[in-house]
Amino acid sequence: MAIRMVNPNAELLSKSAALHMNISAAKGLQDVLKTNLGPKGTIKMLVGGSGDIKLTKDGNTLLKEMQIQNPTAIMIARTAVAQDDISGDGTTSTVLFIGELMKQAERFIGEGMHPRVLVDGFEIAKKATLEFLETFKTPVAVGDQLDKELLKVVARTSLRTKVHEELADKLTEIVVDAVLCVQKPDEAIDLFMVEIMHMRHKFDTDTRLVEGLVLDHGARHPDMKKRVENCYILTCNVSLEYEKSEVNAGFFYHNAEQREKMVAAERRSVDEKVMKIIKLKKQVCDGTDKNFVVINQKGIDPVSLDLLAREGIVGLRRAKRRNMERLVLTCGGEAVESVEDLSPDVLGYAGLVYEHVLGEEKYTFVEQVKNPHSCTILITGPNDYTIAQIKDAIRDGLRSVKNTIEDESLILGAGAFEVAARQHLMNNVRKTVQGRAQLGVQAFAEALLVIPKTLADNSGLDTQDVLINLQSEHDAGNVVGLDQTTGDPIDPNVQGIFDNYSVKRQIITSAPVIAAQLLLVDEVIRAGRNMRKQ
Amino acid sequence: MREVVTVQLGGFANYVGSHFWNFQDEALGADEDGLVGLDMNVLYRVGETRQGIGTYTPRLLAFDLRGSLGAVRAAGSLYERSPQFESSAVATWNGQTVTHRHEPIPKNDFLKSLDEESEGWSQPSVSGSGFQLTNVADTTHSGNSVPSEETRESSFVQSLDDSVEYWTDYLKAHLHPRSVYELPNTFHGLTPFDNYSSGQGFFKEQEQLEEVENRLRFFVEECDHLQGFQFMVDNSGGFAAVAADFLEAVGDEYNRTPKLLFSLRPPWIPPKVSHRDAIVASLHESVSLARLSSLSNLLVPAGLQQLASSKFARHLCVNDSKLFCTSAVYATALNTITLPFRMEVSGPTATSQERGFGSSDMSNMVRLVSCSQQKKVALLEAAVPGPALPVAGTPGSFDLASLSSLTPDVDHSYTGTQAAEALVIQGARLPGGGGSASVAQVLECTFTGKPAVRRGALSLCQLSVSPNPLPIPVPFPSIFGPYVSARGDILPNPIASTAGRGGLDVLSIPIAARVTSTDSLLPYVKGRLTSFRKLGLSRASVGGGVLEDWGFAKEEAQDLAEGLGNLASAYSDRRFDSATDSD
Repeated sequence: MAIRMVNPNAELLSKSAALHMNISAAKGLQDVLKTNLGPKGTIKMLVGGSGDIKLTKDGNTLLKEMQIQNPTAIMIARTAVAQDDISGDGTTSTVLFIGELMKQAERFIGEGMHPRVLVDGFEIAKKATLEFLETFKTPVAVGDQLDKELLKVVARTSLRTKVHEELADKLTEIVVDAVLCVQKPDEAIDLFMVEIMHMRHKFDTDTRLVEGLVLDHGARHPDMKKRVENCYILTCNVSLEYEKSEVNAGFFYHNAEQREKMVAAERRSVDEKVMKIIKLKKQVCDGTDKNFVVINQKGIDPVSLDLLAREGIVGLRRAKRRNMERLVLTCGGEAVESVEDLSPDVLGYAGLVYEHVLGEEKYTFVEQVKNPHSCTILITGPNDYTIAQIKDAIRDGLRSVKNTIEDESLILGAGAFEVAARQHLMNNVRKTVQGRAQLGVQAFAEALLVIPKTLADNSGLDTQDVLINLQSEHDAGNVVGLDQTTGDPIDPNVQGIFDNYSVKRQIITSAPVIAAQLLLVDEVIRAGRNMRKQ
Repeated sequence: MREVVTVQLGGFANYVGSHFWNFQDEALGADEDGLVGLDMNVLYRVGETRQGIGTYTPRLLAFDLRGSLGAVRAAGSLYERSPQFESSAVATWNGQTVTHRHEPIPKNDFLKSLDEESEGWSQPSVSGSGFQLTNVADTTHSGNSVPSEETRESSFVQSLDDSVEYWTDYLKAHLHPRSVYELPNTFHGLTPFDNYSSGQGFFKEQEQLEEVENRLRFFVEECDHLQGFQFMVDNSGGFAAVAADFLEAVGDEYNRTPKLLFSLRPPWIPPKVSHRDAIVASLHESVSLARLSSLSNLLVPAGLQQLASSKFARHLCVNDSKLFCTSAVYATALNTITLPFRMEVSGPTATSQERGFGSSDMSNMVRLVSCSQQKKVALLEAAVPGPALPVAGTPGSFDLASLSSLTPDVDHSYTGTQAAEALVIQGARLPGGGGSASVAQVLECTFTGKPAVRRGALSLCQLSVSPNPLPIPVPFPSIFGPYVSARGDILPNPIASTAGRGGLDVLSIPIAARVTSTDSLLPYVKGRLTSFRKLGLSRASVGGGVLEDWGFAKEEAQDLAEGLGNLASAYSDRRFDSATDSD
């Protein structure tokens, strides 16, 4: 009660009321996200106060869009969003699982059980499930030659829950090829080396993989060619613009003549830099049919552009910082920070560089490169919200492929794991537990079923029938999942439905922790401005 | 052309920005009848929509919380019509669609009239120089409807004074879809955003950082000679930190480009809730000053605790509790002080100077006022409306004493040995309602009068004079007092009984404004240094804990203190003359 003395405005919720609040918040959040799950879930269209539209099938995006004010719900949402940050998917599943754990717990607590005992049971069950996960996983051989078909299967499973089948299958090819492009043996996969660009244009299924780089700007000189073939690429971070002597420079001029001199000197030093580039161009291109393209992270002013254009050089300015890295991975060569000591070794190569103009937006495609280690996924969609949704789906797809390679294993999907884990907990683990903690294990086991149950529910199937079917198949020793069209048991291995090991592992690790914390709360104090505002 | 890219961060900065862009809009619409010598391309970019329609939009990046745009979409309506929300529009999913709709925010009458206006141009007349958004009543509606137009206009303009809730409620300019960036995971009115820590960490996530970098890049890439960035930062809360993080993130890329930063805040009531709140507020002030001044080339703090009762507002009637009103005051000063950046360069002859004198680019101004980066904080003074010229033939000078400070905690009794200033006089009027003065007339009495108004040993002054008065746009709060005439003359007798006069009664006003790095600023800087040392540096205290919560380790806090110390030392009242520092 000390809080009362410190802050007389604080509101207190006693034990049972606190628990009730937590459980109902968890259930509420679960209700919101439930319909998202799986390939038969509903897509959500969010219309803002000013008519802005967001389209999402992704639990993570949805949670970020919701103005959640209930503190319990905020806690659950943060866990779920963290889930996405760590493993790239599984937000909805985490929320569902936490909600279901709370629901199961409510039942037992209603019968007079102490939350502490229940939580102990959760802990035992969690450990056992994680051990079971190790035995259940399907190892993936990650050698020199990756099993592309298997990677596609995982990506497809993830993508089909985000976009419709036809588009998902198309994106599957794209994301697998993209990851294989940037992946290098014995190195962590850096998904940032996959550039994702978008154009508002035509139909969504025009999305494609460009083996090369797409830049979102073009040359700024009218005489520069819009299309060049057989090009040397110079990637640099060198200012090619005349800048009035720096703001920080501490010198002043005394008369107009001095000023003129300073301006001329500045200009000359910029021109000299440009001449060095031109010299290199002449060295490598003269007498051949080769072309020369300069892609600069810093600015290039009109005078320098003009000098370059006169030599037939295409110059792009203010390239993205990260594109410096990507260009080198795509075209070869190296990114130079100064034009001293330029040599042909620093140059990259691209078979084709061309400009594409859409309204005021210009795109430059750098294509036909040898052995690229960076690539671009070009999303085209009819409007911004469609593009944004495809982008989200592609991110998740990329992560799922990356996870598979890094986990070196997969988990059978379509609810097969959850049903199997439940059977394991009920038949093997529960017996080994002493006393009432058994009930905690039981609650955990039942809660796992929320995934197949929700999948069935979203497909309009009878959940009881489905669960009984699945469980009896598992009892007979067949590891099966749910066919969401027919409701019959299927073998996910044959159907090609796989989930990421790390995603599942993360869900099972984090959800019970939050559930336990929420169950053990015995007092809720409302204090401070923020909470009172609601 | 020397382009300027404007960056606005936070609620109040955007309020000020909206007025600023309305002024520009007015200048664009009026450039035949007298607004001369300005190059609007400095602030605006020429673009083109997919339909091939030309656009003319500010080079602007504006940050705010989500939901702070009211009825206006972040992407604007220029490049894309409002999307349709039939479920058939979902092209990516075959299954069910559930639509969740936020209660639509109704557009106010002013926004509706803007919409009608643009509907009116189904075939917009776009000339090469860009289109003109003209005064609502002037040209778009013809003949017979004019009287009713006027009454309608006055009714919705009056209603704006009380009804403005969002900075977009009165913004006339169309913004480019990439201009407005809403901070993810924040909600206007829900997310607490009242101190430094609440704005930290937004660019830690790579994706968000790349998004804002790209938006800035978009505007910078098309500039041939970027002269600098003008930042307007709402310093009353978390946006100080957003600004600092943003400047830090893009600093490397644009380290040679001048950054002029206006740190703004609306009038406030000091927290009396608890000891801790007072400490938090005080540390916020110190930390944001230390961070922002180190990351920009010249920091101009503006934001009096009480505006209505200040000396500044003697010809104004301002309601301190209304952002719409107070932001308008700061916008007038900002508009004037940045005017030299967009003035055409004049020659040495008097004829070439008729269109304006003293065009300057940002790097010159910043370098001069900051005394080559020694004094990185400057104070802003202005007279709104500006004083009339002295009566011709009498000895006297331009009344610079009428300029009063918009920077808080300034003490004019500190007179140092050196300081520099940039003074801008626009649209000056002849005495006794004698019409507008020519540039030559202004120059004459300003220069001749110079010695009389010198305070201390002022060594450098850059003077810019523009013949254009500040045109008052129609959606402007009624902040002018009864002594201000339609052309901004200050009359001996009140002409109106009503308390405030706005854009319908006052057409234009003269303004004089200056930024100066005099030592009067010392109390401002030193006060923040002292309180930081007192509150922040002892770890055991509440303040130390607060800083730790904000993620400043002991060493970093020391660094901040040192930074503030250096800042303050530049303003100390030095006894000996150090004339060698400048020319």
